[in-house]
Amino acid sequence: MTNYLKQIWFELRHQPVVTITSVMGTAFAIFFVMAVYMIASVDSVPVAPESNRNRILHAKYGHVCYKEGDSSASLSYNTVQKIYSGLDGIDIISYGGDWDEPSDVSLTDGNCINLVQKKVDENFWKIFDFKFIGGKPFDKAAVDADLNQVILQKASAEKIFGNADVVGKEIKINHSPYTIVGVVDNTSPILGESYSNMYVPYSASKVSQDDEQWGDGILGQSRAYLLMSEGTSEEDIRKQVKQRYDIMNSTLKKEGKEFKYHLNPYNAEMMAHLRGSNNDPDYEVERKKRYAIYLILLLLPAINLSSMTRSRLRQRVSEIGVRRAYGATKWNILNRFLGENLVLTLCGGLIGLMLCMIFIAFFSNYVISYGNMWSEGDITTARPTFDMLLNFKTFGYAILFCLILNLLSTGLPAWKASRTNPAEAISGKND
Amino acid sequence: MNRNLIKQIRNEWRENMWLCIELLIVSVAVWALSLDLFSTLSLKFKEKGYDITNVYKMNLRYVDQSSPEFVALKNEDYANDIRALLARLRRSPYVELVGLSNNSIPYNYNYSGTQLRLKGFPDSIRFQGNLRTGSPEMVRILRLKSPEGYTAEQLEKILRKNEILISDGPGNNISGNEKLKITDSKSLVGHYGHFGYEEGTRRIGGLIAPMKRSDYETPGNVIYVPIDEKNDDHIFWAHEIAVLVKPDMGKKFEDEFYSSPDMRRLRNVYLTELVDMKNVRALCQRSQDSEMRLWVAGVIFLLLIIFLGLLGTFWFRIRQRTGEIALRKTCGATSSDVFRRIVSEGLLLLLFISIPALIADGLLTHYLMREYSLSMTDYQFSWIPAGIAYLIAMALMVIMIIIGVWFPARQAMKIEPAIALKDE
Repeated sequence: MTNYLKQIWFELRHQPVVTITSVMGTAFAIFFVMAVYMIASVDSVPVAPESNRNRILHAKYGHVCYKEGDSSASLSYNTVQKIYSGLDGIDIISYGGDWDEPSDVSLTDGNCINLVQKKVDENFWKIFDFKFIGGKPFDKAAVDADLNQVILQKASAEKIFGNADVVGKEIKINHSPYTIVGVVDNTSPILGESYSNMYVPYSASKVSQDDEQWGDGILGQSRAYLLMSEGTSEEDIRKQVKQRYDIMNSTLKKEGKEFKYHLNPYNAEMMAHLRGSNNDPDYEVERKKRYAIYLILLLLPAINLSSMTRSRLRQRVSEIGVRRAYGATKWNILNRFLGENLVLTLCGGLIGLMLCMIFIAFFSNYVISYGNMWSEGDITTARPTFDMLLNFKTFGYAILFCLILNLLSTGLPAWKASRTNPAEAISGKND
Repeated sequence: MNRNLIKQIRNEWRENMWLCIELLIVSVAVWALSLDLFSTLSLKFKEKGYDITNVYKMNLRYVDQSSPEFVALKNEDYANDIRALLARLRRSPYVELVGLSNNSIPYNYNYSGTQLRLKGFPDSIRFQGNLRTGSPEMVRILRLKSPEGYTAEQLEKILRKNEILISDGPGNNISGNEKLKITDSKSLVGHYGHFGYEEGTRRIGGLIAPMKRSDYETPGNVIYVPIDEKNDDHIFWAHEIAVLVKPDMGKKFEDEFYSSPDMRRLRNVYLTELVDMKNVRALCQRSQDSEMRLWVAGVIFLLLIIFLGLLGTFWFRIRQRTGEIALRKTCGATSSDVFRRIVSEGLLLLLFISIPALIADGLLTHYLMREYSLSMTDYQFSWIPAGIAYLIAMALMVIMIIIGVWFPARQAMKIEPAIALKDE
């Protein structure tokens, strides 16, 4: 092994320009391919307060078709209940408002600021693992009674009061008084399904009366978050939901209407690739596009690296001849060169991965619009945090991409080198 | 020399074939990205039909009945309170103009598609456009353009007479009639039209330029209907207010707005979400703006790949050809000749793939780009941008090849024949 590494080190020092070019080329390829992977993974990575992201499903939109025309929007409270309550395999269901409403918050000095409020019920806090730095979530009684209570995000509390020790204080939201019952730690705006500046109760008793605005009462301003039990598959849930759609449609059909299913409910990845409320999410198309991009991003640098490897191995023909003459098999030669190059690839890969993480965490919002395009407020400047990027899956993929790149760039030249005739190689004929 | 060069390229056909494949793939990819960038940017910079510089937007809202601050009022009180708040805004020293609006402020992705039927003509004669409703001042606030050369003040006067403006847009939005001489927007001016949603008719008083909903869309036809602030019914149409601030006074106006409760609220009516239209535009278009930057990053990546590929390959090539280069120099070739020869070799490889690249680009344009646009915008297919993108891609490739070959070629120039040939 020591000899092995010594020889690699000698090779690297012997041809500095080629070494730098190879390592840079590899770093560059891994940088880009990992950037594509990490940007996509942000859509579904489980991280607080969405640590249960793999088990959370979202029921948000509905689409009603008539004989002439159609209508699509969020769901009414009654529809959400009808379709999603009491499903087998769902541990917790939480009801909420469909959009995050920018609201006036009056400050003590008479000024006001604009903050976004999310309407949620008591179960929201069981599905999402927010860290409370003061107070506690609203309870069922407060939600049912539609009490004017609010939970602030730490940054919002600091904006309003200058500090986060504000539980029990009163603020005015849209000119109505609210009591602060809790303060949660700041979270990333990229986690748009849970993020908000403040949270107020979403009371079923209040909304169910007037939340049947469009689509003959099917559509409104409500949504649901579903937490699946451990071991339940998304397909099990969708099967049940589809059945409930079918039951609804058997009645609607007689009135010449159809409530479109559109693969509801959605996981985090599907939510990130919604194309409006009247289409199926196109996450599979996105995935195919991403695989094509991976291929191009690996194939092009591999062609470059391959031509460099070929040239490098050409200079080592006599060495290969000697090795073969002393009994090395073709497989030994192939393995040796693949291994040697893998060290180079891993060095470049490590550099590429580190640069990529720095880029994603600090600069990527210039080229990627995270979250969905209808999100308001802080989302425009949001970037992934390191806890979203640093995980075993990321490193696993980085190593996998390095192995593929190594195989693509060295496989053919090393295979050709291993077939070298020892006698010709030593005599210099095989050049 | 060229014949020799071609022979030399042929002798190293294996390596050159890989290099050519790489150049071909990269040139097609750079072409596709350039085409998307070019098409999208040319759409972005196309006339919008308005100007949002120094324009702010805010929303008009009402205190909820459940609030202890709610006051029981009649409808006319609400209308008077809205008028009073507008007057307070107009008194600000930082404000030039204030207008009420309902979907007339751009960057909100609202269609509100409406048909205008002409009075006294068959029902088949219609003008289709996006309904934009606002105070007459909105014409001056957004500096709407007149295709007939009218000033914004003249257009405002038309609206003050309670007449409407329609856009002079693409003809396909008019179901016209040659015999009745109704063929384009201009021929509708002076006639009376009526909408499905209101009784009575309105005179079509003039023309405005088509308006984009966002920078990345093609301009669309609009029907501009005035809100008469004195009319209690009209005033409730509005749910937003546009403010044109004096130049460089935006920040001061924001401070005044947030620190003056009286400016923001009167009994049950309050104004909220004051935001610079530049920020509204940034939020509305952030996905397309980011995509543009991502494409640029993609082009840079591809060009760097070319750079590294050529640098690596030619570096080896020069090392292998040390003897040959030294011999050339001995036979009278200058350092510049050597440099030119190596650069020419790179460019010749590009020339070889330029025709296959053109064919590939053409096939892609014909079979794919026509059907599926790469971008999210209203990209309209045309061969001209495809041709321009090809030239851009080739120009970028030439630059990258020269830069990529430059370093090895400089090394080649430095070869000393006496040293290089000492073993011969």
